[in-house]
Amino acid sequence: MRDESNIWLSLCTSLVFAALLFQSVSSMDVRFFAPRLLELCVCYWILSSPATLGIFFAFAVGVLVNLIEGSYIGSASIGLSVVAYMLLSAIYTIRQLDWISQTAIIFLLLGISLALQRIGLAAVGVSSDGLSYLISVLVSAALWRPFNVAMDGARQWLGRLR
Amino acid sequence: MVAIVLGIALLAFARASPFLQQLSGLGADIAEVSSDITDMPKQLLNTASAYLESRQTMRQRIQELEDKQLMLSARAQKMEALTAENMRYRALLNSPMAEEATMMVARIVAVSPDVNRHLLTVDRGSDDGVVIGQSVINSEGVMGQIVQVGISASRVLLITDVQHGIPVLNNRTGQRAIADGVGRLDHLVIQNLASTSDVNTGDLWVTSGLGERFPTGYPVGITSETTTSGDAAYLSVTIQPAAALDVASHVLIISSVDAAE
Repeated sequence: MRDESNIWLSLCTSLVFAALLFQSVSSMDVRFFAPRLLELCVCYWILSSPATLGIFFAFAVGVLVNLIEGSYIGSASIGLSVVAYMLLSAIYTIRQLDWISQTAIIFLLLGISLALQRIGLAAVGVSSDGLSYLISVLVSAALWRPFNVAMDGARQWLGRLR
Repeated sequence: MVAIVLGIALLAFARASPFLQQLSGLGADIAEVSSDITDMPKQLLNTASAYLESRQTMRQRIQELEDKQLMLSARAQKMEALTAENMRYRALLNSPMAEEATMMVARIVAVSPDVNRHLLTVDRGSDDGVVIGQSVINSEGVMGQIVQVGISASRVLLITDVQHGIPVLNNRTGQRAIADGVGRLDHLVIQNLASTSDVNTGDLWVTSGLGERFPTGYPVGITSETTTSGDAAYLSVTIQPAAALDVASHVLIISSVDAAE
């Protein structure tokens, strides 16, 4: 059982780093392969601290995603809120799964999140270009295991600093 | 459920609410600050390499820049003469004088991570007098227009974005049309022109000035393909943008004198 009493420093640090790296893409073509780090953060933190962080945390990160992307505020929040709900509904099952299965689940959840975002944007007149966004979802899912290891390591390191 | 309803409500009011538009402008500021932080190692490397550069290389570069400046000032003189001549002709024709544009150099600091949007962040904001609707060009042609303004940064919607349309004019024939972005960096599309329209591959399209958003006469792109519809009633024209939209590092934000005032 992880200590959930003092997660805020780790949480804020991870979100700041994820946001910095998320928007650091400098070329339009590279964007297709850029991992969705903020969405990965949401999945990690909800799986890690479900008692503290939930749907409204996911909603707030969605607003941050929209601010960074420059898209309509609220579009990413819908998808991430649904992801948070699904994670919380099956949290014990997902935690029991091996890494490969978890990676598949993360692929599915991020795919749903971005698909809902596209549907929301299409409703306000921003059409999307096919399923190209799934490339970044695939990259993100492939990074789920190293992301987890890095986050656990960083949390331990930050815990020793306190 | 509450979160989803709230999300839908935010999305529905995103365009209408001035508060949400200001908040979007804040996103441009966040992107600029993040870009400054992530670019820091690169800037340090650049500074270090500038110190280590030999005197001979620097002299050579200064010489190159001086030569380039000389050529550009010669071109500017010719341009001034042509502008004066053009104004005299306009006066003879009793047509209104072309409006003078003010320009501001800006640096591109970030690209939107959203794969479906063609948005750039530039390092000029409301503090520098940038307002929504100003057009943005580079040395080759029109790039887009300002759609979100933060305090020290703004976002530019490129002409290739699916939400963008630009009034254009065929430089050879004078035919007017609207060129729409289709979400691809390498082309724009003009749809539903009459099939009898005189459009050839290689024709230059420039801004027509209709709508008074873009100033007249800036290059938008070159016709790369024309396609006739199945019933031969309409013509669809594909335009290759004149400006290299993904490789530019600096842009010019332009506005008419009225907007600047």
